[in-house]
Amino acid sequence: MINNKLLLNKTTIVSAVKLVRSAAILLLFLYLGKGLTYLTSLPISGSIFGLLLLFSALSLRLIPLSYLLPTANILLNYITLFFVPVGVGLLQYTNLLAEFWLVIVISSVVSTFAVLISVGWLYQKLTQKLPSNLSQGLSQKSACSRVEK
Amino acid sequence: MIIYLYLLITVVVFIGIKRITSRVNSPLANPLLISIMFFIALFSLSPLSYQDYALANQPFIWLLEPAVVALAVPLFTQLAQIRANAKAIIISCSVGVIIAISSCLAIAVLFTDDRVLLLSLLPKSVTSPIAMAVANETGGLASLAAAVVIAVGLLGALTGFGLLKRFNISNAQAQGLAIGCSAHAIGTAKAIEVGPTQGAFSSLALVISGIVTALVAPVFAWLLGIFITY
Repeated sequence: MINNKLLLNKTTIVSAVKLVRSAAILLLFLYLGKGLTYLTSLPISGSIFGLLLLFSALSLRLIPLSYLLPTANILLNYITLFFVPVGVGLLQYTNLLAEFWLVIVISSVVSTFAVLISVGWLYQKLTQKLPSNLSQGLSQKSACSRVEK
Repeated sequence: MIIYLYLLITVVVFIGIKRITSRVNSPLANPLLISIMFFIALFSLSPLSYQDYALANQPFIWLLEPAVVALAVPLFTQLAQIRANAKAIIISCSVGVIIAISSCLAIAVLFTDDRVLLLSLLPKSVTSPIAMAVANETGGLASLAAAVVIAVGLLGALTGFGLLKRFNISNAQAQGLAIGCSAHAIGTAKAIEVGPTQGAFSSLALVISGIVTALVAPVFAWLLGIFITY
C-alpha cells in the first residue's frame, strides 16, 4: 500500500526535486551577484550581476536551460504581482512627492516619452536589413526630429 | 501572525483585478496600477496600518531579486538575436541612457535648483536598487529616487506600447529595448506579457541601461555641480 503510494508519487517527487534544484541555482547566482557587488563596490545591484552571471553560464553551456525552468517560469509568471507591494510603497513618500510633484511629473513624463521613442526609433533604424534607402532614412529622420521638438 | 493575511489579500486582490481588467480593452485597465491604487486608497482612507501590510508583503520584495536573476532565461532564449544585433543594442541603450538623464535634468532645472532633488531624479529610468545606489553615491535622496523610479515604471508600463505603436515602432526587439530603457523592471514585467521577444529585449535594456547609468551618473552629477552653484 505504502509502496504503491510512493510509486504513484514518483513523478511528483521528481518534479519537486527539479523545482528545488532550479530554485537553488537561481539563489546561488543571486548570491554570487551580491558577492560581486560587494567586491567591486559598484552601485550595481546583486540581482543585476546575478542575471549577467547566469546569462553567461547559460551561454557558455555550463548550465542547461532545463535546470532553471521550473522556478524561473513561476517567478516570471508572477513578477507583476511582486511589484504590487513595491508600488503601494509610494505611500511612504507622499510628503516628498506632494512637495515636488510638479517638477517630478513634467520631467519624468517628457523624459520617459523621449527615451521610449528615441530608443525604439534608433534601434529600428540601426537594424534595418535592406540596403538603407537614403530618402526613406532622411524622411524618418526629419519625422523624428519633429517628434522631439 | 495575523498580518500575513495581507500577503494573501495582495494575491487575491491582484488576481481578482486581473480577471476583471482582462475583459476591458484600455491601457488604464492595468492590473498592477489598479491593485496599487486600491491598496493606497485602502491605507489612506481606513485606519488599517500600512506598516503591517509592508511587513507582511516583504516576501514579495525578496522574490523580486531572484525574479530579476531569472530574466536571464528569456534573455538566453534570444541569444542568437542578441548576438546578431549586439552593436545596435549597445548603441541604442547608451543613447537612451544619455537622453534619459539629460532630458530629465534639462527640464527639471527649469523648475528647481535644489541639487538633492535633481540628483534624485537623475537615475529615474533604471531599476530601483541601482537607482537608490546611484542616488546615494551622487548625493541624492535614495527614498525620493525610489519613489520616482516606481512612478516612471508605472508610466512606461501603462503608456509605452501605445506610444510606440503610434510612432510606428512595430519591431518587437525595438519595442522591448525602448520599454526596458525607459521603464526598467516594471516595464519589463509588462513587456513579458506582450511577447517573448519584447520581454527578452526589455530585460536586456534593463541590464545595459542600469550599468551604463551607474557608470555615467557621476559625470552628470559633476556637470550639474558646475551649472548649479550655491
